[in-house]
Amino acid sequence: MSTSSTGRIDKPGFGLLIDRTKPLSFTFDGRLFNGYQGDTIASALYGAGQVLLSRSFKYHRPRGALTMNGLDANTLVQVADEPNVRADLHPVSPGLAVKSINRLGSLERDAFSVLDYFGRFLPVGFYYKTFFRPAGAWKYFERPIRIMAGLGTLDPRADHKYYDKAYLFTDVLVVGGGQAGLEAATAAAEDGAETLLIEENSELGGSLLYGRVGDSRDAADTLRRDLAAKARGLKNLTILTNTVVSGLFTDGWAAAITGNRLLKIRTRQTIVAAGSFDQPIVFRNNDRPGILFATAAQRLMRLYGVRPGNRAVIATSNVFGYETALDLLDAGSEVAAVVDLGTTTGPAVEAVRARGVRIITNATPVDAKGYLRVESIGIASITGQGKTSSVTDWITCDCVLISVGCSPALNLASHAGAKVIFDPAIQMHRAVNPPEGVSLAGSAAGVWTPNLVSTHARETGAMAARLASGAPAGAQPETIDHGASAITHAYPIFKSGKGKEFIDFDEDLSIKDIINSVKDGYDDIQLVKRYSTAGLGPSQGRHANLNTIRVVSAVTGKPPEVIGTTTFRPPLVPEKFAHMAGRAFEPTRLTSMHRRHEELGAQFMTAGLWMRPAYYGAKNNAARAIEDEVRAVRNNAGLIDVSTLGGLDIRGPDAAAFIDRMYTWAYEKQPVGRARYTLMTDISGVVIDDGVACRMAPNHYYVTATTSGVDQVYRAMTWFNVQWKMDVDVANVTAAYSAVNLAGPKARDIVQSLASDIDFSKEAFPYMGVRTGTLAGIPVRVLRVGFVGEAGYEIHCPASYGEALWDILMSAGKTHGLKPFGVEAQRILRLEKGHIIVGQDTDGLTNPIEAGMEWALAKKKPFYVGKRSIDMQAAKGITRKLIGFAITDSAAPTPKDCHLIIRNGAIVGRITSVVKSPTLGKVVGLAYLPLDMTETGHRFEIRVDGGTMVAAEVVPTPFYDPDNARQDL
Amino acid sequence: MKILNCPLNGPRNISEFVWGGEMKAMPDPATATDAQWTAYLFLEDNTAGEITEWWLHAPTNYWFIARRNTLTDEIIETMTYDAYLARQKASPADNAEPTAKPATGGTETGASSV
Amino acid sequence: MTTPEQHLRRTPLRSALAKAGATWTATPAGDSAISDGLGTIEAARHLAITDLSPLPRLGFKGRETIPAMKKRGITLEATPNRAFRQPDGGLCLVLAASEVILLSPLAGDGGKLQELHDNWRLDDAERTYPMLRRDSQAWFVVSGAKTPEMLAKICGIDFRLTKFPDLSIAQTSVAKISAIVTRADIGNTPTFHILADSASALYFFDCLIDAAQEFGSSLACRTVLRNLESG
Repeated sequence: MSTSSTGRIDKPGFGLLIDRTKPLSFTFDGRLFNGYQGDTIASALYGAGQVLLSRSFKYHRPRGALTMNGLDANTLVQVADEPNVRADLHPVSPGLAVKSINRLGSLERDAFSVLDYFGRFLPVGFYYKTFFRPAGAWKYFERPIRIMAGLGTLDPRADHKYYDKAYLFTDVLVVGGGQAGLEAATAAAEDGAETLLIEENSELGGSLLYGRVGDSRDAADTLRRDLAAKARGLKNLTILTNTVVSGLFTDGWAAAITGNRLLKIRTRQTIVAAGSFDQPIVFRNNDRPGILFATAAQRLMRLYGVRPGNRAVIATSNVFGYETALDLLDAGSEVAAVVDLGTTTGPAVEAVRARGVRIITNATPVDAKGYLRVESIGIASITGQGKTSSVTDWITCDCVLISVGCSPALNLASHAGAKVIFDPAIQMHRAVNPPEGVSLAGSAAGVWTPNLVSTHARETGAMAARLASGAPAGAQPETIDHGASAITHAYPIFKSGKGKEFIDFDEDLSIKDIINSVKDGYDDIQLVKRYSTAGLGPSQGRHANLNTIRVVSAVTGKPPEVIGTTTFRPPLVPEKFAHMAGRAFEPTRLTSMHRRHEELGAQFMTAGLWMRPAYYGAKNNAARAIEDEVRAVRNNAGLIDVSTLGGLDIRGPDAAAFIDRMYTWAYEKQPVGRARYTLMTDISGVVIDDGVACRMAPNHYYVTATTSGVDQVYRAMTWFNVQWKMDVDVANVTAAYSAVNLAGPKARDIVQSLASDIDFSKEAFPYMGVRTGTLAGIPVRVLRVGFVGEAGYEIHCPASYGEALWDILMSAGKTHGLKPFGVEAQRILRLEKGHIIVGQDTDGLTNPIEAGMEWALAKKKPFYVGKRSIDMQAAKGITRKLIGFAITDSAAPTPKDCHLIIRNGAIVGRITSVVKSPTLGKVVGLAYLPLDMTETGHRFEIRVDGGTMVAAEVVPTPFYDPDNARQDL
Repeated sequence: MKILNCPLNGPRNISEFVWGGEMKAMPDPATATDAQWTAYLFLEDNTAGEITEWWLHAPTNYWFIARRNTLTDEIIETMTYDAYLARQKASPADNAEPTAKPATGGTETGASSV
Repeated sequence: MTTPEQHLRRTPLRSALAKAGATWTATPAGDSAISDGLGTIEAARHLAITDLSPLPRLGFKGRETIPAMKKRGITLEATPNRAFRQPDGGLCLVLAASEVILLSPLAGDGGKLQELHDNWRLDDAERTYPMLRRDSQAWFVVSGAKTPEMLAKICGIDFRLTKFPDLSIAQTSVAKISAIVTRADIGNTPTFHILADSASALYFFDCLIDAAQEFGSSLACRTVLRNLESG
């Protein structure tokens, strides 16, 4: 265990985000730690000397902060029931309980760390190669492997939290609130565009928050304050901080996450000014805690006032490394050496030299000692690309800060469709041919020199404002920055004789894993990624992609610009399922009578979006309740809410001709005041809906459709009529009407007890008659139809009257034994009558002939939708038919819907509906059977649950009241 | 989320729309052979390139025509069915009547919004 | 004072409104009860939700709808997705060249819409057909400066006041159900009228309240909107 050398820097200019007057404490793995308000978990732990944060994914190596900006997997921790929280972004709060992950035992003594010593047994492709053979082996290995490999822990009992989504509309979206983003957003807003600036950190400024301009920290700070103040002063510039744009899509669509909300942004122009990602030096033990990016050290110091170490070594190939040395010196830390991979020049170099710091040029770290924290670093001279002398010097230190170049954040531009190419002039990638509406600024665009960043970003912002307003693009900003070529080292990769040099910290991949992937034949960069898993971890290749390409390039001899790059895909940062789910919108439709059903103790079932009473009464008494409802309808009267039935008003001179074309039967000669069954088929002759057509007037039909079918029917009707151009208007009036079916021998007595201008007598209002008028003051359309096989009235009224209609009928029926009944009873009643339900007794292939509905096909009509296909099927002949059956053995178990009919061991048919009929005292149902089994009296066998065979017999339908005497009463 | 430009309602999220299938001419059911009819029902061109399709704006139940490129995922243009017909008439290369028509005529566009 | 159940026509929201503490007054036509005693004028200017479902409204649909409406003295043009204020303070929403919806003024329409409905004859063959919008759709009003931001949580349309000017209409999907959103400001208060499936009214009301919660919204009533109207 190393030092307690870290701590806080108590000097002005350090600790921008923390409030030293507000100390707080929290726990990490049960131990108490102190921090300040404004700290992240990682900064507070680092400040308290806890540099070790986690164990790595595969080898369980100790790991610490790397980026201090939420870009690496090292800082994943568990916070209460929330797994995989990024400790370097998550603010610390009093009493917060933080746990490390991916360990067995304590973080310091992780028992799985033994895996590190068996690294040679865990080569790339190891899991594929080892555990999948022999067949079935994976089953035994999976569980222990999952335990070892897992990151956070999901708590299935975690509290439900409120997540939601919101749209956000803007003319110009600027991603990134650093220098470039601020300049671009300000320019766009000043030119009149409504502009949205999104910054993922809590403060605007990007690298100006911690870095230097020229070699001056003050210049950076002044510039940041000026830019932020100017941006905040613009009314048409909206600034969102703590928000991450995680995906950029076609048509100016961006996803962003802010707290528990997913923002769905719609913009005309997008400027990606998301900065760049640091790149590591790949050398032996380069993952030791205390080895971090120079910018991470700058963030620790400037944002949180945390000292990265007391004695630092800086390994760099650019001025940023030297600037970090100046920061450390200003903070009062010792800089043991600056190890320069080349021979960097500039004012910062001179300033460092002037302060007496040892500078070793053309050298690199090649090894690190220390386990839970770096203790010393081995330096060697660079002798060629990726080649060094042996270690020339071991330098004692407690932190090593890396700055050897960057990779621009091109993810979002790539999501949107830009092509990403490697530019050898700057040793970085560039986005070219971004899609319309997308541009880049700042280092993401390859522009690094501060004054060029400013000019370029302002011009980009102004151009976006022009384009967003519909004006021509005008002058394109100049993107060549010669200063950019001094940022990124071409090959900071140094293979050691033994041990691991990490290319991908998330996935624990070292140089030889990439080499072996290529040697195993996976030499395309896309294949290398998938086979080795490089770039598949939480940091999505931000620090691994470039070095992977370089190694593949070195092994294959192809230059990086030929190797290409892997594809960036959204999301840019891990999104939670909760963000994607948001606040679930699940529409529920309730009929106007719903409250009455609740008051009557209905148990509800869903029918599409609708809630319908299944039956009335307690759940534990369901069978009895349903039987009672059936008996009430057969013996007295029942009332069922059928408001969910579809309703269509077809009005106009062509109404009858139109219905004739849409439905299979004939309607032109149907008298006014009569209803007629309707059967709809699609163009291929498949039954898709049924109902009744009521002729209200010569040019007006009121057509019902099934609850679940009406939307499809309405769409079909309007689709055809766009083409047919018939003089008719089709209106879906489902929601406009509520309806009940009042059925049973006492139904007429009940309606006749109410004030009405309709003559309900048998002679005046026969079966299949339709009347309009008022009933107890309510305007109604009344249909004498008989789905349940008793005399009855389907009463439709405008929906706002629905509850009153229910109340009036229930009250009028009291003395007649009227009972409400639900869908379950209705299913029994209709099946006793042998009536089919489209979608239950028909399937996606059923034609009317198979369903026994030939009587509903108008043979003489020249056209109806489906006719041509049905004619073909009729000519060809059918192979199955829907028949009625009864179970002969009263002691046999009752089959269920979809049980199969077996003949000689083969499946020959299936049951579509079956019920134990309380009226008939036996089990009856409908089934599809081959034609040679459909004769009345034919006996067949049904296989029920558990494999028992039950004997059944074909019987004619209707099962109940075969002469249809009762519905005519 | 892509945007589709509805001729009635303007540009909208594509989630407001329902795909209505590729535009194809219905052969005259009275004269078509069985082979022609089944080809119409079940065979699709599956064109890689520009196609013409039916789309429905669901909230208004409004049917219209969109031309789309299946290779580039670009929506080239949208138009009313009448505009489509007018264009078909203007270019005699492809003037097959899309569906069998009854004798009656009119101009209804199919807009409604219950 | 009245109660909803004293009338044959009832708003689908009455139990939710009663739970929220609404009192009830008769509609101007006396055919239904409408919620009262909810909200303040300040709330209505900030963000408030009002149920106007008990007020009259009527649709007409069919290829000759525009001329048929002009014949009836309705102020309108054949411009889809535009609303037109009527001399009596009501609104005519032109949804398409073949479809309109007429909304009663807050003060009531003096029975005009019922008359339009009752006097329509199929035999006149006008090629326009009435639609029972009072039954098929609930009528919500969301008013106040925060409305665009609140609606952005449940709808993908850009309702910013500069982009969706007074008398614009969007027929769209709100909280996953079809809805007609019309901006028709009351006085200088941004006001959005939303017509949505009456059967989904309770669900939709919940969605509105949920979306409005973070802005500190409240329920309001016709009386408050009338006060807004008179300034």
